[in-house]
Amino acid sequence: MIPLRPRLSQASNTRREAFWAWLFILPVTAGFFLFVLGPMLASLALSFTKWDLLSPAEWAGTRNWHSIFSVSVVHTPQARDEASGELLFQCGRHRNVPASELADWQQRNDERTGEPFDCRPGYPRDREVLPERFGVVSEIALFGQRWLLGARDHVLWIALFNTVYMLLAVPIGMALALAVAIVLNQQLRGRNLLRAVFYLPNVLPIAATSVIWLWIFNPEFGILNHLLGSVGLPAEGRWLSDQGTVKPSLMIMGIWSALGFQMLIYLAALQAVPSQLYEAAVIDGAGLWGRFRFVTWPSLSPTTFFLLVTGMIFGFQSFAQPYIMTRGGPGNASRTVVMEIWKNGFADLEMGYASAQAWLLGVVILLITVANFRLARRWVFYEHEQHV
Amino acid sequence: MKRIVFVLFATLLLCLAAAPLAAQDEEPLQLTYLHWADPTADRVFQELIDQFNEANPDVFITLEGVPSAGYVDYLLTSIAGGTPPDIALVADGDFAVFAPRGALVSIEEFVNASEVIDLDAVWPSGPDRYRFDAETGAFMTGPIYELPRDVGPTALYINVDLFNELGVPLPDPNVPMTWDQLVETGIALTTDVNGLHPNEEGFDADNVETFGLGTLTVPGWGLGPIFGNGGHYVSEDGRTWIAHEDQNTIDAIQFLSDLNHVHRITPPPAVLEGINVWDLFNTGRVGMNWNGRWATTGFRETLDFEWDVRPFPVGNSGEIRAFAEGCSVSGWSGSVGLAIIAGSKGAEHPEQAYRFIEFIYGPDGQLAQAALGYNIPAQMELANTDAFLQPGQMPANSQIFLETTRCQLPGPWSFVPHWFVWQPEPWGRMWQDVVVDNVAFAEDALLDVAGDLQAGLDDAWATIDEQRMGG
Repeated sequence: MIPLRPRLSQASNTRREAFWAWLFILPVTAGFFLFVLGPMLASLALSFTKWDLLSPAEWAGTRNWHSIFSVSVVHTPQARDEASGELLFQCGRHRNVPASELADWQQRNDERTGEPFDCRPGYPRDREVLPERFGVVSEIALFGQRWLLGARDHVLWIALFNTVYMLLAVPIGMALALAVAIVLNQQLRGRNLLRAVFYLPNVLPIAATSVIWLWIFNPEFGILNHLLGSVGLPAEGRWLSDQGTVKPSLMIMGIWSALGFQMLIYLAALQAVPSQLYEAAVIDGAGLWGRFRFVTWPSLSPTTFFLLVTGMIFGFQSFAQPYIMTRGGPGNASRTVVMEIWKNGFADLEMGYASAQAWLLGVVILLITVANFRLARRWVFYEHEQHV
Repeated sequence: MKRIVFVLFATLLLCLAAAPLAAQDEEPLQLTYLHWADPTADRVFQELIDQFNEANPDVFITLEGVPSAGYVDYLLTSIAGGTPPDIALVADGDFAVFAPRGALVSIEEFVNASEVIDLDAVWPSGPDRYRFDAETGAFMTGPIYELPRDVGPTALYINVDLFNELGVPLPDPNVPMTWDQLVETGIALTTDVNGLHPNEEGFDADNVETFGLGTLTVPGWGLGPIFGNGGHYVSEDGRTWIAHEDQNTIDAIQFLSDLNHVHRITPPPAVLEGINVWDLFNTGRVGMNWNGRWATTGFRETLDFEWDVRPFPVGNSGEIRAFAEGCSVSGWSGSVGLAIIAGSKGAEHPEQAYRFIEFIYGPDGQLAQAALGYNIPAQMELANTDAFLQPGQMPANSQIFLETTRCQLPGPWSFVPHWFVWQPEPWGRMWQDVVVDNVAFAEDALLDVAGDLQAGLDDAWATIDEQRMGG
């Protein structure tokens, strides 16, 4: 072979290579500095200001951060009648029912709606026991005692809880994706078609699939309740309009839309597992489970790790689906942190405060990711590593 | 060599600098107009803009559109980024965000000097919601910043075919129903699969075929029944939350809950998930539904049954709140207006920008929009002609919209700052408990959220007052 540039020395060759290397990564690097690092630093600075987008930002010191972390736990016993000292209950919509009348109430029906009264211990109004301007994040009521978790920005903490709750969809979805990938890795008739079908949700716009799922979940006309009913299962689920089921409903949809991508990555990883490992395992007498447990699973662990970390990061950024499908409702039951950041920034015009919230989210993501990497040492195996 | 380059460069610079000067006499002033994009609006307004550009050779307007969902975000970021549109639609609910912060240019002097706009001849509730007095910090008074593109009143839309099919007499088109009449009509229109009504033994609430009345799924729509019962949200000056102390408001909210849970004439929330109550009306399953005049254009194209409109019902208190004297109908109307955005080219040339705003609000622009079914002409005289009423088209009683436009109030967001920031969340909690879930009385739930609402209101006024003191 004839050297193309025989005159160049080793050093100048390296320099040349470095030049070209930098040139090739320039678009991405410039993009990172301009559109990621720049705005990130700007938002960190903004988190110490009050800025409404329309007038100049004003220095606010740590006020935004102070508001975010204003939380408190308050314990309140069941309410008592001031005069008689009797314990008070709430029956249906009626408050302040004394204990002595409880039995009577429980036997009556609401005269307006005709429904029986459901009675539970009554507690003082939230705003009478919480610090001024605090709202309820969560409450636990047991044996006539109640603990309230209150916060100045209660919606943010509810949103953070919702977001973390819905992250459960990531491992569940990955398990399903792995199962599908293993099946589609076999010699099946029409497997290419099936692979394409599973991947399809990934290429559809979120806005379109969200509307489809709105219809699927519709309690009266939706196909989900219809199918449940036709196989004899309870079909009364209110899905997206019930505070208790809205998060699982959104998770189901999230799993569905991520399945194709996760399956594809697993499929690629499965095909890279060296077949001699399986042969060795068979010789050692491993069955189906044994081969999965000791060959497939460890070989896939870098892929599992990758999907877990990226899935969780994406999960923390969840916005479009709940925004389109529920607007964060009913109540605040499906509000996510990013929705809350968006609302504070663009609806409330509190860009400084929204920046602080964004940094809180960023730090939470960072901590979870670091924890993931730490834990990964225990269960992720790379091919070049020596393990016994 | 260097010298030649310098000479060439200097010549080029001079040419560049001189070009706009030389061209100014011939080239029209280029201005952009930003609006809520949708296919109908794009078509109607491009037509209007073409007319304007032809009649005004010194100005050339270009239409820009952003869908209403991300509209305010877009406008805010374009202002913050220093590249605002010259003229933009700013709805009455967003006016209090933009005007006090100096983001809009006052058009008071142009309106006063105008030969086309006579504020005595237009529906007064339109322009008034675009006034802000920076001295006192009060809305609905002081210099004017926008002229409305339209005022959209609200009414009860009825499915005439369903009334006839079930043998229910049509409500009087000119006298609003009472709450009792509304419930009675609603019960007659609500039928289960066996043809039973909610007040009959054995009514199957889980399998309802037709509903009497559309639910007010959006808590903001509570405005109609509250105003129709003489109720208030806030004090006259807009600074004190009073809904929890106002018996008329409490009664109206409780009435809405009763429609769902006692009379059972509205679709329960579970039915409405994923579809909206307007879809149920469109498919003929709801007899009466609250909606705005803005629905008319679409209804004319899509509904395959006969429909009409009726005024909102009047509450048991017998008091109504209205914008004008001698009104028998109540409710609320919405509006969007056109404003010149500060810091834009339009702000440097306000006369030209104003000319376009005046064209849209003036007789020619309004007539063109009305002919396309788009809105109600701002000029009262013009509205009362066949150009708007369009006999032979549904709704048969479109004259109802004239009285409602005259009488209906702007939403409280027109004189209370940042309404959509602090009001929906606590109000929504109250609404969920009372109207949707029926686990609290209106009186108790309104009291529960009153503190949060007052705190939000205080914060909102604080930003306005700071701006005022600072400026």
